[in-house]
Amino acid sequence: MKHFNYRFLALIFIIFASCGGPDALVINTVNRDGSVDRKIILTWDKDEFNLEECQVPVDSTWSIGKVMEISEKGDTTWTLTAEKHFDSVTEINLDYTSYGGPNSKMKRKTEFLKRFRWFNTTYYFEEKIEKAIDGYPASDFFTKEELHFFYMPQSMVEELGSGSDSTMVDSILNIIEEKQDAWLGASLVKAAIDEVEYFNQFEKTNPVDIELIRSREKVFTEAISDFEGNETEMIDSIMGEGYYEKYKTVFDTSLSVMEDKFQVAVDADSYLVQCIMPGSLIATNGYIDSNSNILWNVDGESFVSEDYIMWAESTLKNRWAYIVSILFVAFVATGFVIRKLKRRGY
Amino acid sequence: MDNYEKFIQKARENRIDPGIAEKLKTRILDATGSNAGTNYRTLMVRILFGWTEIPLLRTGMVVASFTVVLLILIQQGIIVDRIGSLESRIISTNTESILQFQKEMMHANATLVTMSDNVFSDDSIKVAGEDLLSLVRSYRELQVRYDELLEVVGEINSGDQIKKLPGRDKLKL
Repeated sequence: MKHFNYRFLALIFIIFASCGGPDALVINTVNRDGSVDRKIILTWDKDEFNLEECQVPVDSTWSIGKVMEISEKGDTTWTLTAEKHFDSVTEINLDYTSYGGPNSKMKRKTEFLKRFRWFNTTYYFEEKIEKAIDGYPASDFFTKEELHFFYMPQSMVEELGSGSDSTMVDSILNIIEEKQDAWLGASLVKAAIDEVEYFNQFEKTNPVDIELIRSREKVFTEAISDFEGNETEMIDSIMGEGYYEKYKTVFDTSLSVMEDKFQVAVDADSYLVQCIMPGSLIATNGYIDSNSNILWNVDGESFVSEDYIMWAESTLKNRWAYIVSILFVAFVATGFVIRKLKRRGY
Repeated sequence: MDNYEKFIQKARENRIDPGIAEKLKTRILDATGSNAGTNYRTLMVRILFGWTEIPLLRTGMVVASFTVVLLILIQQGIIVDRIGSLESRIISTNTESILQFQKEMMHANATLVTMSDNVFSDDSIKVAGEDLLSLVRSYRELQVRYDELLEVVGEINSGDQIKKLPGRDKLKL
């Protein structure tokens, strides 16, 4: 069974967030009929792109182009651009289910809704990534302002950090770093206890006292960040010597399952998602750039303990509805005017 | 008295009201031709706006009009309010600068990986990966500015001065 050294959780996320392969920017252009034009831009310092290793599904059915450029610093950058038209989000979801790349264990789903509201038609698009483990949401540990930076793409953080609010930004980033361990630790403990409880129900001969373990959740949470040993030693140190061995079957299975789920977030290959909506944007949980495009960062931290939903809503005026409505109101007003004139004998 | 005299007697007793006769005359004229154009307009007005004479319909139309106006105002108000709340999410970057940043990070990462092959065992210190990455990026930026400065003062010479940059050999940049 794998053993995790939980002390290095946050460090794992930081180091593995963007190492290795090309960086990816996924651009979704959502059309009024629900179709999506998807464009993926991969940038790398070598011409060794492997579409099967891309962070999102891409294959030879896409229109692919490649460009090489040399910067003023003498850096060679290869940029691969892949484009494809999807008639509906259903096709994107089908691609996700058949995808076998590095992020294949991430459960992703897109959704599109069109709502007719007489004067306006609203368009809603979302891409959801299911949580890796059943931990605590980040909002339980971070304030609204901290969350704003927590989910922010690195390029934006850097830009704000070099601006006039750099002191404030640095301060918030330090707070986030301090709280991150606590949040991850608490989420892992909760997820582990939930898994123990789930597998415990199948253990008829030697079940664990789950209430006792749950009552020690806080102790486990405090211990997890600093404990040097593995989970066997940690459980024994809190519950008593030999406790792990006594209920080995349940603990082995549940912790193994929990670690596999957590590994999905650790192994996640990060990328950026940009969305262009029809009409005027009215709501989103993403970051809006100077061209009114919406941007999100996808990495392991964003979906480790809660579903990560990237959504945007826009609206388009229905001009004909305005015309019909104004004509109707004018018609009613005219009726009353004529009635008044008739009464006066005109 | 013969029948004729009886008829006259009856007619005198049941005289026609002159007002009714006048109305009858007008209706015959309307129907037959000289007031036909005016009659069509009147008919259309009656068809289109006849509902104003029925209290229930009149009230219904008023309510419908007010509802339409209210709907416009509420919908637009909600939209304006929601757009206003987007202000906190606006950033100053764009796609081009995002891609530029990605490229820079990628090259800085590559440099970091290269540097890890040249470990100084004697005086090495431990630093956080992020800080080192930031340092490498700053160094690369400084490198560009240094080259530009040399070009401006006209002292650049096929890279000889660049080779003399402190620490450049060790970092193999």
